[in-house]
Amino acid sequence: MAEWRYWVIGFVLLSGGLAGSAQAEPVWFSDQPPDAEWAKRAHHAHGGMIERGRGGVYVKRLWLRAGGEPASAVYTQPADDASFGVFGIDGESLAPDLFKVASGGGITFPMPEEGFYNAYFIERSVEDAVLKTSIVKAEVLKHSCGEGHDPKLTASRMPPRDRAGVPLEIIRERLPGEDFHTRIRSGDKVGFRVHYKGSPAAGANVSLTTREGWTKQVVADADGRAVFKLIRDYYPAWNDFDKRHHEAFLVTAEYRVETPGELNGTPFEKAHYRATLPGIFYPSEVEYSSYLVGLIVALIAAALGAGGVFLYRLKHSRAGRERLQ
Amino acid sequence: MKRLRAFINGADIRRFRFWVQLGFFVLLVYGGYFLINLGQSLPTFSCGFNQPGRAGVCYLLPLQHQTHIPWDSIISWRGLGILTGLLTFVAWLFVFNKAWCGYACPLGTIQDWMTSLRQKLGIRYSTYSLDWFTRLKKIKYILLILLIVIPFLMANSVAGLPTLPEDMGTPFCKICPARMVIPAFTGDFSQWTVDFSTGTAATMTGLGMLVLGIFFIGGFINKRFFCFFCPMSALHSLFSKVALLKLRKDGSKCTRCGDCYRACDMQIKEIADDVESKTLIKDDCMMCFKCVASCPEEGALKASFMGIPIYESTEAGFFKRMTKRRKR
Ligand code: SF4
Ligand code: SF4
Ligand code: SF4
Repeated sequence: MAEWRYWVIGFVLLSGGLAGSAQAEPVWFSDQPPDAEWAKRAHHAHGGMIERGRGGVYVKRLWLRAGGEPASAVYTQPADDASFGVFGIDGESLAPDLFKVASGGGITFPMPEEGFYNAYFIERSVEDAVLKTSIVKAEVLKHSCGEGHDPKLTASRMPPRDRAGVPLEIIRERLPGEDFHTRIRSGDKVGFRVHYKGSPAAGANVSLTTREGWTKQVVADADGRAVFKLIRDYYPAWNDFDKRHHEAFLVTAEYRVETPGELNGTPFEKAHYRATLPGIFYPSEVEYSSYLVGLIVALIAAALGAGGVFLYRLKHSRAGRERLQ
Repeated sequence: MKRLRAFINGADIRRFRFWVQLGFFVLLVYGGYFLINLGQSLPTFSCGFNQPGRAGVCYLLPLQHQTHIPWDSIISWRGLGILTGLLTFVAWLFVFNKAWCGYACPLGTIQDWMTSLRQKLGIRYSTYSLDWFTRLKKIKYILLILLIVIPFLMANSVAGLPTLPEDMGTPFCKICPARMVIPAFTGDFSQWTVDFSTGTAATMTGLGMLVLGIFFIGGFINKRFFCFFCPMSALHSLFSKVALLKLRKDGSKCTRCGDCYRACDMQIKEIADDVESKTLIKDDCMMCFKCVASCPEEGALKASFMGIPIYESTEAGFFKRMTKRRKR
């Protein structure tokens, strides 16, 4: 894609100045409130935490956090000249609100329709003649069972979308047969594609870090793909086990290009892009459910039932003579 | 017109039912693969757990989700959601009434197939004594109340008591055999497990597998075994009186021979005994119209739609069916 197109679209996407400083620590979006006060406003829904706006409309609040490990990452404030955008289910541009409070900051936006919303937050700076660009992305699902489960609508809204104009982007591939109810679980293999200006970023360094700090790094293949098998990351005492426990992961992609240029009059010789995409996964069903016990229970019930009927019939041998109707 | 009527009244209702049931089975169990969606208020067991095969969702599933609602949200858009769900359910029922059970329900059809298998194997069937019949038929109403009240008590504390645990969610689905049986027809056995994540989950899913075992034996030995206990049937019966499809009886033509009662898979005694009522739709009736087919009296029993008779008992039809059966 031509460089001019990327900058033009980028400028439209990124209202405001471009002078923010790309941070040393990866920055990423989280929908987990920073404190009890904010937690009171949030409700669980398919696709994560939501708040309710006028008329019950789902409103997403995404907090900015800095740090490579989800468990210890701090809540951070957006820079005044930050650039951000949200794209709705048809790719239409929405106008999110930037917010800053004592405990952190980020963006909020309403999600009136079912499907995936892509939120971006981009910071750029030039340091030591290197353009540093941090691309923070979240892919947010809005689904409410109350709005029905039209398979045609779901199928049309499942494919992942990327955004022309976002320099480096991580796109999560869908699991086989995925719909709005599918949960990613430990043990699943999850694929990501990394795009640099809309084309596969072959050779990008892609890493996945879980909440407890387990990290795996791979190099994106010729198609810009990186695949991770999610490990188990949740070890509670057996009586504290919660199958709905949200395990968190953070995917980070780094890509370097040796293209010189300038940013707001400051020249640079090369560029370093870092993109982040958070996600959640759940404990694997095999950790807590058993087919064997299920079958044993059903077989015992069936055997007792059959035995009971047999004994009853032995006693009352005249009963139940079937008539042909 | 007369000849058409005679043709319909002489029809072999069993064969007709078999094909209609098969058609609905394919539609409701596999229709989702063809992106058919009849909504989520179907008055029949088009099981919501059968994904992606289902062509619509059994109303009991969203009902249990919707009644998981705090008091203060009842007068809100969520309360409105409950109302629209119920109205859609009633609209479906208004047209076909309880024939959803006799002709469309996949779980009912599976039970009929089990009955056919038993007959082929020459094993005789069981019935309930009148006493047990009267007692057992109340269970479906208790289940209906529980499936509404339990989700409500999960969202609301009553008299200072703690709310019920999350794992009680969709309580009837946990023990509904359709959750295990219907997805199995698309090769999905993922519901055939006991969930040990909490004591409540283990109890509920263990109970589900227990019911499944009983369903297989009960459904094999008793005709429409599960339907006696089905809360969907209880919910139908609350609205069945106003529906367009009706089962009518002309008591003056009835000789109380009892043929209809013997044909009835649901053991509805009133179909033979009641010569007073004009409309006979008992809460267990599934509107299969086997009683109409088995009645030898001209016009004593009839199925009518908006007051127009669509299938009625005739002497000629009765003898035609008898002769056919003897030949087989
Ligand atoms: S489990 Fe039973 S009640 Fe629940 S959705 Fe399936 S058929 Fe309906
Ligand atoms: S009563 Fe029987 S046929 Fe009717 S919905 Fe229940 S299981 Fe299906
Ligand atoms: S009363 Fe008639 S229509 Fe109803 S279940 Fe019995 S045989 Fe079928």
